[in-house]
Amino acid sequence: MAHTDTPAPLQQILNQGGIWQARQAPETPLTPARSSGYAQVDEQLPAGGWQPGQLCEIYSQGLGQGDLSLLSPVLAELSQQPRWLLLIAPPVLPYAPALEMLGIHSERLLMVHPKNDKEALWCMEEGLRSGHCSAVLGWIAHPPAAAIRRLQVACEESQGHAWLWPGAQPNSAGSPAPLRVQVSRQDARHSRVTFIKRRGRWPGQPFTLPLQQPTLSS
Amino acid sequence: MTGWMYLWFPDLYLHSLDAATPQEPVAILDPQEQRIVQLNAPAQALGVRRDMPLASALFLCPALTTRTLSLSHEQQLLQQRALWAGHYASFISLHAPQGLWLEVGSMLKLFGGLSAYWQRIQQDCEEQHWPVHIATGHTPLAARWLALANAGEPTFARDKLLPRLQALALDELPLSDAQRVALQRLGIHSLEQLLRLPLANIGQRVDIELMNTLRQLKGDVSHPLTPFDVPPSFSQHAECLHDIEHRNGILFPLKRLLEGLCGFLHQQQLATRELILTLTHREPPDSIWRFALASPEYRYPELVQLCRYQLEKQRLRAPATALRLDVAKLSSRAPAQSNDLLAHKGADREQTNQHQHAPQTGLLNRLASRLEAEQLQCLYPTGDPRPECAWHTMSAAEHSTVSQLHKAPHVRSHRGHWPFWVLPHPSPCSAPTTLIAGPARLDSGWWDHAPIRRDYYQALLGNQLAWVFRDDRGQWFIHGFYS
Repeated sequence: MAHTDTPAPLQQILNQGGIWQARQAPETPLTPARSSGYAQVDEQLPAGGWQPGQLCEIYSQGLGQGDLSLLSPVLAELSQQPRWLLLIAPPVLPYAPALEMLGIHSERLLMVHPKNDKEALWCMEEGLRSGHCSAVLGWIAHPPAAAIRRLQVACEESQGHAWLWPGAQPNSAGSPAPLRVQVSRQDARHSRVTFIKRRGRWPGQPFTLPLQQPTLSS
Repeated sequence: MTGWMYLWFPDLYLHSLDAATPQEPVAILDPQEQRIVQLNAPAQALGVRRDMPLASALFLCPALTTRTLSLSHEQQLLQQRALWAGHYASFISLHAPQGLWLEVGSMLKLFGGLSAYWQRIQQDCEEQHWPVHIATGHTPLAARWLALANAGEPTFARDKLLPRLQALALDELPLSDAQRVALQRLGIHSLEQLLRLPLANIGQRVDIELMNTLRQLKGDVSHPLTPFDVPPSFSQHAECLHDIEHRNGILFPLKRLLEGLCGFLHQQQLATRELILTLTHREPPDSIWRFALASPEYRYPELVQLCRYQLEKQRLRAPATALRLDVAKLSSRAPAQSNDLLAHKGADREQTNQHQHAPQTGLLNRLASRLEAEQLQCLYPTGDPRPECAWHTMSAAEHSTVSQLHKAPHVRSHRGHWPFWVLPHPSPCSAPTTLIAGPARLDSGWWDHAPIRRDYYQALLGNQLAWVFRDDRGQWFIHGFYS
């Protein structure tokens, strides 16, 4: 059988949008990427920084892995805008003096404590679509792939910034999110960062990131 | 430059009813004699005509749905349209039963020219499913006559409008029967012929009234118009062709009331924090639904969205036959929200006027409409050195009203390094083995009854970097995590 066309099942999968094709990538991104504040991370990110419109999943085991140090420079920059920084279902509360120290305007923070995952996903999508948030951060354990796809679409359409903490370990089945990164603390001043998925590039190698942290003094 | 626009809403009452079900033949009857005065396209297609007795109409079209014209309601509908038109003009005059005059000349600069202005009005009406005939003119009457004949063209130039006016046939002009007959006897069939006659002659041969009308048309004498005054409060109702059996059906008539409401809020420069929707059922009592908003709102798309969420929470007790919308808790618009002119300039406005405004409250309203108030929280740093007292949380609704007033004391709390996450209560732990930094002594709070004396350290607990302290008695606690 000589098929010139793509066989039907593959075409079906493509139609469902389950597979991202490199030719779908816009030649020039709509909005320029924002530097992450870490040269090493910018180098790893396909757009040279955090690209609006791309949902990023962050995997870390428990609090205190350095995942927020990774984001704090970009969050500080985003909090300059008179829009909300939306935190959905944060594991505990962020400490206001710490935010100020990192340069994040704490009065821009809006925290939502949803009753269940469904509500959390709704809030996240709503926050993205409203255009009233400079960034949306959500802690939602193991959201279904369909929900992540919805979030990614919302993120792309609104050209917003979104980070999602889906759990400790990435599931092997993959995810529709264009960026997936694993962060674990190596020692007091360093974290180990692995970009396990980067749309438009091969997965990255693990690397050690020195965290921007001044020392405790009195 | 003055220039006039006339908006004619043909069959206003009919279209307030049938817009939700445009396929169904509907006719409106005169309240005195049972004759058809308004009818929609499906009814017309079945052979029903204006002025036809009800019996003949029903014979032609047994499925015809009929309602009796309520003049007072039609008057109210026109008022709603006038409130909406407040977005577009500062001088509006009602012309009962179905027309509005807008003074447009002074608004053109704001809207970028007459063609753009015209298009926006047309687009707005289309989105809201209001059939409308638009015409402009150098005099109010010229605009009206062209609108009635649906022969408008976006210009105020006399020489361009005159040929259009002249082309109007006698039947297209709003003349009394006596005038029409008199003119026909003179062999006059178009406005062109009529305008060629000397005015004094018309006064003699037809009547003085027509002479004056023609003078006004030409602009020889002024045409006094009564300005429309915005009522001091808002309460409008909508009738439905069929009983609404599901809450989703409420949204359509409600949207039209919201258009009027937004026009009202715009003209009064107000915002509202509560909408009150009263639903009339066949059996009393009425249902009253109150939609509270987390922050004052006045924008149409936001209000529609909020109502959509609020309706999802409601259950209809019985089919509704009519609804009324009232507003409460009106407030003048906060400066943070009055950037209306910028609002059209796209989303990048947030970047341009940084720091000047509180974060936008629209989202807050949407979230609050679905969640409980205590589920939305904001942080509020106090500047107290004790970690437990260094900040409050407050519900977001409270925050939106407070934050502008007293800005938190902006303390770059002393050179220390604070953890990103803080536990609501310190949790006891065993003495950590790997201390990274510290101690940092915190001895504070002697002024009230919660003094603390603690030595804070950074400690590695497993692979987590924690913020721990030892109190006076040597007990260790985890208080937060560096992340």
